[in-house]
Amino acid sequence: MLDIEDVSISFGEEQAAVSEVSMHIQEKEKMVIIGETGSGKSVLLLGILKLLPDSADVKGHIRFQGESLLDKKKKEMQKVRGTQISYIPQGSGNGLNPLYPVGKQIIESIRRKDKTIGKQDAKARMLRLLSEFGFNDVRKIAESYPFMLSGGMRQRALIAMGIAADASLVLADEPTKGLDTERIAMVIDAFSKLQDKTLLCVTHDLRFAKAVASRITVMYASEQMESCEKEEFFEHPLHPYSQAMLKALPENGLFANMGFAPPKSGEILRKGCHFKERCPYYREKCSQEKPPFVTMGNRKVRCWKYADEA
Amino acid sequence: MNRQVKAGMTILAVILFVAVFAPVLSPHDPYELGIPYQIPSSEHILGTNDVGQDILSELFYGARVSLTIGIVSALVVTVIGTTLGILAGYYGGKVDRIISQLTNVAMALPSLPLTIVLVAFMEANLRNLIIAICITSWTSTVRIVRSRVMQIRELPFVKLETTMGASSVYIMIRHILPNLGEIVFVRAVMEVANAMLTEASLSFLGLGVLGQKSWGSILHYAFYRNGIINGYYWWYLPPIFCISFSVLGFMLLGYYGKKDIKKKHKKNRKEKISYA
Repeated sequence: MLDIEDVSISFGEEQAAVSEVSMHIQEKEKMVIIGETGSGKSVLLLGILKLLPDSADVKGHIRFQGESLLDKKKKEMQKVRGTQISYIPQGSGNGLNPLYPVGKQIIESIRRKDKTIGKQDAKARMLRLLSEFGFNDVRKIAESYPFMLSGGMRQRALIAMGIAADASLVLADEPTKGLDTERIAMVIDAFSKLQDKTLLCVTHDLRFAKAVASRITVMYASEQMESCEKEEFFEHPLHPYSQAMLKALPENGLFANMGFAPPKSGEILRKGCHFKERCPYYREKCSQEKPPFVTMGNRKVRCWKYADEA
Repeated sequence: MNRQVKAGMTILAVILFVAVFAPVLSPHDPYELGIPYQIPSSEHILGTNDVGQDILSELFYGARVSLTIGIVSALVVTVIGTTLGILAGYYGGKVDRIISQLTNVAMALPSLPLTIVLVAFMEANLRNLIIAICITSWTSTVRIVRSRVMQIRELPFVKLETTMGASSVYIMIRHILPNLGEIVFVRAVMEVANAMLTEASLSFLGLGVLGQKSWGSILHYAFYRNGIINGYYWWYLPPIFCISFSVLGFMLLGYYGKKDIKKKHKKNRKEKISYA
C-alpha cells in the first residue's frame, strides 16, 4: 500500500529532520510512529503529502499503491490528497473554518471526491458519518459552528471530515494532543471505526498507540530505532529507548530516567548512535559508528547491543 | 448594531433618499436661471447663486453625483485591492514581489496631483473622473489585505484544506475571502468617503464634470464668483455641510461589528462593582 524507502528529509545545511526511514505498510494495517517532539514524525507525514516548504530536500522513494509520490506534479498531488490519502491534524488546533457550520465543511469534503452526488445524499452521508463518530444529536452538531463544540467533539468532527472523502490511507498527526483522558477515549473510539482503512498515525501517547496500532515504529532524533508488531513492542521492547519509554508509563512504575532532551546539536548527531547520550548500555562503539537497522526475526532494531549479536 | 452604525445609517438614508427623489423634492429646476444672489427666503430656502439657480435644488441633484462617484469608485477600488492583496498574500514569492513593487510604485506617486493631471487631460465625464480617482487609491487596500491573508494562510484550517486536496482558487474564495470580511468592508466604506472628498476637491478646482451639479462644483462657483469674499454664507456653507456629513456617515458605518463603546464601558464598571 505505502512503501517508504530510505527517506531522508533535510532543510538546508542543517542536520536532517528525517534520516533514512523505511517502512512498508500493508493494506488495512495500522502503523503508529512513536517518538518525542522533534524526532521528525510530523515532517515525515507532511513529506508523504508533499506539503513541506520548498526549502525541504526529500530523498528516497515514497510509493503509494505502486506509484511514486515524489515524482508527481503539484496538480496530480492535489488529486491524491483528501480523496486517496487523507490527513487528520493535531487535536487542539482549530482545523475547522470558524465561519462555516461543521456539517457544511464535511459535506464539502464529500463533494470534493464525488462531484455528482446530490445535495440531499451528501447531507445524509454527512449525518451518518457524524453518528458513526459517536455524536448523538447529529443535526444540531451539523449546524453548530466550530467554537460551539468542545475540544473532543472538534477532534472527532475533524476525523469525520478527514475521512469524508473516503480515502483508503489515513495519515493522522498526533490526534490526541491537548486532550484529556476522556476525550482521548472518544478519539480512540473514533479511530476504531476506521477498521477498513490503512492508518499511519504519529503520536507520543503510548496508551493511544496501544489502543490503535497493529505495528509500531519508534523514531528518535530523526532516525528509526525500532519497528515491530504492537504486542512485541509492549511486552519485549528491544531498543533501550523503547524500554525507557515504557518504564516511564504509570502502570510500569512511572520510572522516568530520561536524562535530558534529545540532542539537537549536529556535533552529537553527526557520528555514532543518536541515542548514545541517554543510553544506559552505552559503550565505546556507540559514539564511533552508527548502528545499522538490523532485522531480528520479524522485527527491526537499530542498536549495537543487538547488531553485534545478529 | 451599535450606536455609531445606527447614526451613520440614518445620515446615509437621508442622503440616499434625497439623491433618489431629487426631481420630486427639488422646489425648482437647478438649471433654471433667475434672480442672482438672493438671500434665503420662503421662495428660495437657501437662496440663489450668481446666475439665479436655486441652491437647495442644486444640493439635491449634487447628492446624486457625489454618491455615484463615491460608491462606484469604492467598489472598483475594493475589488482590485482585495484581489491583488489575496493573490500576493496567498501565493507569496514571485507573485507577491511583483504586486508589492507595483503597489510601492503606485504609493510613491502623489495621488491628488496625478488625479488632477489625469482629469485635466481626459474628457471630463463621470467615467473618467472615477478612473482618475481609482488609479492610485487601491494601494492601501492591497497592503492591508495582503498582510491579513498572510496570517490567515498559516491557520490550521487553511492548511488542512490543502491536505484535503482543495485547489488554491477554492481556498482563496471559500476560506480566505470570507475571513477578510470585516477589514474589506471597513476599507470599502472609508474608500467611499475618500472618493467623495477627491471628487469635491476636483470639482472645486474646476475639473469636475462640466455642467453637472455636484457639491464640489457649487463650492467652485461660490469661490470663483466671489461668493465667499462677499459673505454669501447660504451659498458656500450648505455644500460643505453636505460633504462633511456624508463622509461622516460612511465613516460611522465603518464601526460595523464593533462593540458599542459606551455600553462596553458601563458593563465593565458594573463588573468591577460586583467583584468588589
